[in-house]
Formats: sequence, structure tokens, C-alpha cells
Amino acid sequence: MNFTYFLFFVCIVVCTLIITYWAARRSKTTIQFYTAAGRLTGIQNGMAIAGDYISAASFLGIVGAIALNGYDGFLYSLGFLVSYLVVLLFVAEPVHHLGKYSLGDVICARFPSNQIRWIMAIGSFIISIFYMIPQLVASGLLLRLLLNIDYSTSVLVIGSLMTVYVVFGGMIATSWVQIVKTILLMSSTFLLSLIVFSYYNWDVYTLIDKVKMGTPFGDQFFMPGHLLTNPYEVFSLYIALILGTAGLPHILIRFYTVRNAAEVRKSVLTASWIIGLFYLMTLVLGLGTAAVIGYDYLIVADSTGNLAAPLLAKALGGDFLLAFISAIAFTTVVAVVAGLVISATTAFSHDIYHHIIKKGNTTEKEQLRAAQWSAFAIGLISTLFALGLKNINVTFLVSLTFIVAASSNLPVILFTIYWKRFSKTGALIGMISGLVASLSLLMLGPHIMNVENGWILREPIFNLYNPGIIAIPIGFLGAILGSLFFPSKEEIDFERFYLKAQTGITLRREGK
Amino acid sequence: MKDLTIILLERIGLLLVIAFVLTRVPNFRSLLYREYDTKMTIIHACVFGVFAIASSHFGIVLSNGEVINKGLVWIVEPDHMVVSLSLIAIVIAGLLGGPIVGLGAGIIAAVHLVFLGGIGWFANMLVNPLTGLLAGLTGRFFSKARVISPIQALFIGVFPPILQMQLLIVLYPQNENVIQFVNLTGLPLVLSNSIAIAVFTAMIGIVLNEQENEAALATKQALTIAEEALPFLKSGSLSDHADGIANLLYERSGVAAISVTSQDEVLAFKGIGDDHHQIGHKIITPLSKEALETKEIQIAYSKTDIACQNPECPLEAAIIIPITEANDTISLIKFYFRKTQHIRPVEKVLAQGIGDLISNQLKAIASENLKANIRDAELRNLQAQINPHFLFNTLHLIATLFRVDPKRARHITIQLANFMRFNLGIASESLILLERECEHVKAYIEIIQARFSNRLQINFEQERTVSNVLIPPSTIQPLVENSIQHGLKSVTTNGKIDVLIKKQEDRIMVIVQDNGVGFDEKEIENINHKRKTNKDNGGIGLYNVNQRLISLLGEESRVYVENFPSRGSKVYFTIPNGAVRRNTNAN
Repeated sequence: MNFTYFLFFVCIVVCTLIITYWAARRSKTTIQFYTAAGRLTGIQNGMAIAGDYISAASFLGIVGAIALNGYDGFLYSLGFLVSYLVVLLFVAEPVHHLGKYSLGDVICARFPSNQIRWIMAIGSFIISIFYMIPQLVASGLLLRLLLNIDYSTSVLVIGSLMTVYVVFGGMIATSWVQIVKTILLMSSTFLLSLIVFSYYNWDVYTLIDKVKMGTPFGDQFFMPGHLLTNPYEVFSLYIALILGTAGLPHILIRFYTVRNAAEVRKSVLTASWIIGLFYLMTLVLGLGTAAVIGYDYLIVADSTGNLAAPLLAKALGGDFLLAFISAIAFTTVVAVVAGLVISATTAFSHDIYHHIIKKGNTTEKEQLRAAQWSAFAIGLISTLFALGLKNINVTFLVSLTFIVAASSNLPVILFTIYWKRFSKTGALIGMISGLVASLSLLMLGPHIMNVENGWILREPIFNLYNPGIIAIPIGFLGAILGSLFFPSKEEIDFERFYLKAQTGITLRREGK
Repeated sequence: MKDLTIILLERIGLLLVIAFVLTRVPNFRSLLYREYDTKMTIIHACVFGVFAIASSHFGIVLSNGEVINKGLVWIVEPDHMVVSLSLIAIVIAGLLGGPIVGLGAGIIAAVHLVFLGGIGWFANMLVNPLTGLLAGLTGRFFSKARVISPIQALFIGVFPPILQMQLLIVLYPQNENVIQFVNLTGLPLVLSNSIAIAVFTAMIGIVLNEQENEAALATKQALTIAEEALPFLKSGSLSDHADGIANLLYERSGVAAISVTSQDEVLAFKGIGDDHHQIGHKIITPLSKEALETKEIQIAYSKTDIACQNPECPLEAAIIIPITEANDTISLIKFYFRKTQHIRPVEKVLAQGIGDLISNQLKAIASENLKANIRDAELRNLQAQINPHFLFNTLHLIATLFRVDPKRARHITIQLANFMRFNLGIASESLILLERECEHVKAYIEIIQARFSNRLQINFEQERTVSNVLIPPSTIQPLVENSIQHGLKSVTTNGKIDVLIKKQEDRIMVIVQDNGVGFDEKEIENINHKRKTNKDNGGIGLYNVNQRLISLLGEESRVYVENFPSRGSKVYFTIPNGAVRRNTNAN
């Protein structure tokens, strides 16, 4: 690791710690800790959502995927963008109106019940942890490649940074780390794309010709069929991506950090714009990599293609640019994992500790204490897991989280908000069946059962890598059938609830 | 790379020295204090633009990776490359003055860099306005404060050189020279720029802090003075205490002399020159008249402005502060100074503060008095109310008595007249002598006694020793009335009411007791714990009495109620013995 790398690295760490210090002085109450007291503007929150969403895997991975697989790599990235339509149209505003700190609050606004809260908390917890561990593992590997520090050190550094952010700065620090990351990431990818264009004298045709020369696919590079071959697999992947985002707790709790519904809409729009532009720029970077570096060299450097962007930076701008891009990748990693830590923390300390164990009888101070301790514990445990899972392929956990979110969280959220006859039992059955279906299908699928390198060395019982196509309908069906067979006993004033979900207005009717 | 960093830091050190000297020059400092309008934005952009040009000259020239200039940058050959320090000035301009100032300063620096030339001139030119704009926007985005903290600035300062390097790569693609230059200078520039920007921000922050501290001190002083002047203002008008206020101001503010004047003449003068600035002099200077008319602070900057007849007068300048009450300037306070230069912004702030505070206090006192007067009027209005039923019943009684016992009827008529006269009279005073109040009660008792002679017995006892005691008028009578109407409502025979006035240590105790049904436990609770009693339960008389006693004689005169264990109840209160008149607001 040379001095330039080290300096940028230190600069990023110092900056984020300054943000944390600043935020720590403003994180004195639970509402500040969990939701930054709703003080972010829509644009800031949109940046933070984009920051939550664009992981190092998608920054480096997508560039690599495009460079290696052409059109399919780009198609893969489109799913991330489309998923925001579901969030914007169906989920964002009701979540803001109904909940306070956690996703469990939303469902419990209609069905106040400890069982629901348990399941919601466990779901959120599983999603956040399962999302976090592969991120940590991947980032450990990534930093080893980029900065040449060993795996354990990099996981420890990232793990302790994310823990520090969340424990001391809560949602405020997390949000601002994500905002800074988004700004840096966007501006650097933008400049890097400009450099790619200028490298070929702003002539797009030259670039495309060079790309064709650089990959073994030639003209076929711009055609589909290199990465995504099985149509069921593709459909399954997409449906999980598109529906899963709307059930991801770390995205949804971000809607509590703004003041009103207008800001919620603005934040989703900002996030969509940023993510859209970002993937457009990754396309340029991917093409640039294929043209400047070439397929063969890239595969040799790292077979997953993760090094595409850094290699491109080095080829175009030398060590200085490479160091800068690596620093950005590092920021990306810490920002994403910090967002996940806070969502897991909320699920545990707000739902389980405050509402279930203490029955809502805790003081402000105790809640804050509990939140900080759980953040610490979550950070510690995930770091330890990540250290232990170094040599095991855990990337499938990412797709698992999306499937769990889409099959367990989303049906319940949607029905709670929109379906009048939805019942408490339906919610429970929906959540449990979605959770069980996605977990078991994954266990039986080729990620785990694999003749070559699976955890269980045998033919997979279920043959899809992405079981979303089966698991998601099971989640929805469970919720529907549960409600039809076990309708609500007590009368619930659905109109009143619906009004509150859509507008935030609480109607006081006679006799209520 | 290390050497280059050190060279850059040395150059920046020079720049910082110049900047430090500039922040000590008062004229230059005043630039930082000004509010932002179009004119100031242009001036700021120009100032920082010039500073950026100077910073460019403080930069270094590279040729094939070697630093070739020993001194300042003057001439740049086409194959040389300038490492300009202008970005520092531009970032500061953006952070301090906002995006527009940053952009303006950046354009000025950019034009200059074009004329300097060298390799990469186009990127160097482009980066300056862009940085200014972005720095301005970033400053706004991160912080609402006037000057962002040095640590934030340290972070922001990292990015302009990175932007510059990337622009170089964008604009000079596939150029080995440029990539080599970027690798060589990128890191040193990042380091030196961010440090320099942080130090600059800290320096400007200190200058602004100094100003704020001065203002804070002045404010604190004004507050202290206003607080100490409060006793003078509260009792009587300003003119009664002109001396006291003049002394206070003279001691506290440390100016050469103080004078307090009314609308037309000097009421008090304290300090240097009091041998010829005499009390009673008429106000003559046009400035004082202007202050009286405009109600705004005026400043006399010369001896002619002060217009002292004595040519030897040591006073040269003055601040004239109008004091207003109810929209009229009733008084002037003048701060005199021996030299015009002694009037700093701090003094002006102080004078303004004192003037405003005193005027506000006068306003507050006036409204307090007004409120008290209104309350008084309301109370008297209540007191003046006579129960019409009582009047009719008594007249009826008299009519009956005329036939049976004309002598008694005459006596009762006179008592009624006394009672009525008293009731009319009570509207004029808020406190009367206890003797008068007793006569009133006696008159009432006689009337009642005549009406209910077979039903009840009223006993009035007063210790002779009490004299010169003041009581709110019509306080005892409603209590007696209350006893008759509620306590003895259902008692048809042997009703008994005692009115006792006794001396008790240094207070006078008034007791009204009866052998009626007594009070509800809840009622007693309400009265004894300051809650308003339930009005429809006949408590209104009691409530009014209690209110009047508390507001006119204080909380210790409040009414207490007790039930006797057997039957009946006792209502009592105490009033001060002697001519203690507190909170009367009689004038």
C-alpha cells in the first residue's frame, strides 16, 4: 500500500468520524437516534437512500458485469432502478404515516400485537444481518485487492467503523455518511465517465469499436444471452429484485427521517434519479473497461470482474486516480453496512426490547442505552461472522434477503395498507410462510446443494438459483388464505386506518 | 513528492502570513462584517479574485517533474506547468460568500491563469470558477452557519485539487505528461490545499468571533444597567430619579459624562464638565431636538454638534439616546465622550441597547399599572352591586313595621339609608377604616334582625383596642349574608350568627360563625386550597370576598372556612393591624 492510498483512506475515515462526532452531539434522544428526528430534507434523504442501495458490490460488480457480459450486465442493473416504482407508488408514504421507528410499527398500527411485532422484528433482523455479512465479507476481499491489506484487518476496520458510526451517531451519522458517500460516488463516477469519453476524443463510435475489439463476444457483446440464460431464473431474479426492495427494512425506515409526505416523495424521486444516473454511468465505465483494459486482462486480474473500475482508473489516470476510486469504494462499503446496522438495531432495540420485553415501559434514556448496546452487539457479531466466513461463498445471502423481503415483508405491508379484509392471523401466516418458503427453497436450491462446491454435496432438489418465483407467491397466498380462513374477529375501522395511511390524518369519529 | 509537499506548504505559509496581516487591518476586517447585497458580492468577488491572482504567483512552475522557480511565478514557458495555489482563495471565497462570490472570484482567477499559460492551462482555468461554485454550494449544503468549522473545511479542501487533477485527465487524454504530473502533484496539492483552507477558515472564524464577543459584552452590560435602573423606573417617573440613573450609568458604562434630560431641560449631569453643564439648562442643540422628534439615536461627532457655551469644555462627542414612553419621547440620555474616536460600534450598540431596554421597561411598567387600575375598577364595580331582593324585602318590612311599630320603622329606614349610602360610597375607595366597615355591618345586621327577629339572633362583638385598621369595603357583610342565605337557610328557629373582631398578635382576625348546616367538605377543600368555589352553590359572595382580600391585602389575608364538629361553621380571615397599605394602587 503506497502513501497516496493510505492518505485518501485516512482522509475518508477522519471525515466520517468527524460526521459521527458532530452527529453524536445531536443524538441525545431516541427519535434522533432512530430517525434523525425527521429533520432531513427530501433531497438529503434521497441521497441517503441511494447511498443505502448502491453497495460496493453494485458499484464494482456491475461495472465488471457489463465489461464481461455486455448487455446482460446492464439488464441486471435495470432491476434495481425499476424496483423504486413499487416503493414510490405503494409503500413509501403509508410507511411514513403509519410507523414511528421500525417496520413493525407499520403493521402494528393496524394489528397491535406482540406476535406480529416478533415476526416483523425477526424478519427485519434476518434481512439486515444476512445482507450485512456478505457485504462485510465482500468488502474484506475487496479491500485486500485494492489496498493490499489482509482480509481480517480490513473486515475489522470496516466492522469497527460501522459500529462506531451507529453507536455514537445513530441515524444522523449514518445518513450523513451515506450522503457524503453518494456525492463522492456520483461525482467520481461522473468524472471517470468523462475521462472515458475524452480518452476516445469524445467519439462514441471509436469507443464502441474498441469495445468490440476488447471482448471475445465481438458484435454479440451488445446482444443478450451471455449471463442470464435461463428465462425462469431471469424472471425469478427480477421479481425478487423489484418486489424485494419495497420490503427491505433499511430502505423503508429511511422514510421516517423526513418531515412530511411531500419530502417522502421527493426522497424517492431523488433516489431513483441518482440510482438511474448511476447505472447509466456504470454502463459507460463498463464499456470503457472492456475497451481500455480488455476482457482477457480483466479476467486474469480478478475472475469476478470486481476490479474493473479500479483497473480502469489506473489505466486512465494513474495511481492518483486509482487511489481516489479505491477510497470511494471504501466509503461505499462502510456507508452501506452502517445503514444495515441501524436497521437491525431498530428491529431489536425498538421492537423486541422496548415493545415486547419491556412492554413499552422504558424511559427515553433506557431506550437510547439499549439501542446503543444493541448496535454495538450487532456490529460485533456481524464482524465476527464475517471474519469466520472468509473462505465460504456467502454471496447467495444477498439474493436471499431480497427474496425474504419480497415474500415475507412485502405481502404483509401491502395487504395491511390496502386490503380491508386482511386479518391479524393472515399477517402472521403470510410472514411465516414467506419466510419458511424462501429459506427452505434456498436450502434445497443449488446455492447450498451442489455437487461441485456446495455445503451439501448432492444434486439440488430444487433447481433454481433464485427461488423468488415460487417463494413470493407462497408468501402472498399464505397471507390471503390466512385472512380468508381466519377473518378478523374485532371490527376494525378500515376507512379511518386507510385515511391515516394515505394522508397521515387521524380521523376522530364519534364514540372512538 | 515529499519535497514538493514541503515546498507547497512553504509557499502557503507566506500566503497565510499575508492573509493574517490583512485580517488585522481594520478596513479589510470591516469587509467581513458587512451584510451581503449585490455591491458587496461584487466587491468580495473582486477581493478574493485579486487574492487568488496573488496565490497563483505564489505557486510553483514544474518542468519535467522538477521545480524550476526559486521566487514567485512570473513567466511560464509553453512547455512548463504552473502549480497554482489560487484554489485556496477560491474555496474560501465560496465558503464565506456563497456560490456567486466563489464563481466571480474563480472567473477572475481563471482569466489571469489563461494569461499565465503553460501546459494544462485550460484545465487550470476551468477548475477555478467550478470550484468556487461548488464550494459555495457545498458550504450551504453542509452548514447554515456563516463560517463552517475548520475541520469541515479540511475535508472540503481535499476535493478541489482532485477535481483539478480529473479535469486535467479529461481535457488532456492519453497524455503521458499529464498523467505523470497528476501522480506527482496530486497528493501534495490535496494535502497542502486542505490544510491551508482549514487554517484560513479558522482565521476568519476568529475575526468574526472577536466581533461577536464584543457585541455580546455590550449586550450584557446594557442588560445589567437596565436591570439596575429598574427600581428607579418602577417608582415614579423618570424625572424624579434622573440623578440616580445618571449616577448608575456613569459608574457602569465608563464614559466621560452622562446627562439625563427631560423634554426641555437638563435634569441631571454627572462626570467631566459638571462645573458648567448645570442642571436646569435648556436643551438647545439641534441634534437633541432631532432625537426627541425622530425617537432615534443621534450621534454628535464634534464640539459644534454638542454646542457647549464653554469653550474650555473637554467633551467632544456624544451619543444621544431618546427614551420613549407611550410613543412620546419623554427624556434623553446622553453619553459624552472626550474624543470622537472613543465612539466604537460597541458603544453604539450599548447605547442602543440601554435606550431600548429602558423604554421597554417603562412600557411594561405602564401596562402593569394599567392592568392594576382595570382590576381595581372591576372590583369596585362588584362591590357596588346590591342585591335588589334585599332592597325590596327591606322596604316591605318597613311598610309592615309602620303599622305595628312606627318608631322601629323609622330606625330601620335610617339604617337602610346608611347601608345604601355606604354601598354607593364604596366605589370610590379600595380600602376603608374598619370602623366604617363595622357600621355597615351593624346597619345590615339591624335590618336583618328586624326581618327575622323570631328566627335568628345575630351577635356582633368588637374588641375596642383596634383602631386605624384598613379593610376592603363590604367584606364582612357578604359573609353574614352568606350565613343567612345558606348556612341558616333551613333553620327556622334559634339561628345564631356571631361576628367577632379580635386582636391576634399583630393582626386583626374577623370571624363570622353560625350554627347552620355548615359547608360541604368539598366546598371547604375548594376554598382552602385556592380553587375557585362552585358559584351556583352560593359561593359567589365568599369567592368575591376572598379575591378582594387577596388582591388588596395579600395572600396572608385569605379566607379560611371550618365546620364545627357539632353543627355550624366558621369563616374567618385576618387583616394587618395598623396602617399597612400594600398593593393598593390607590393613586
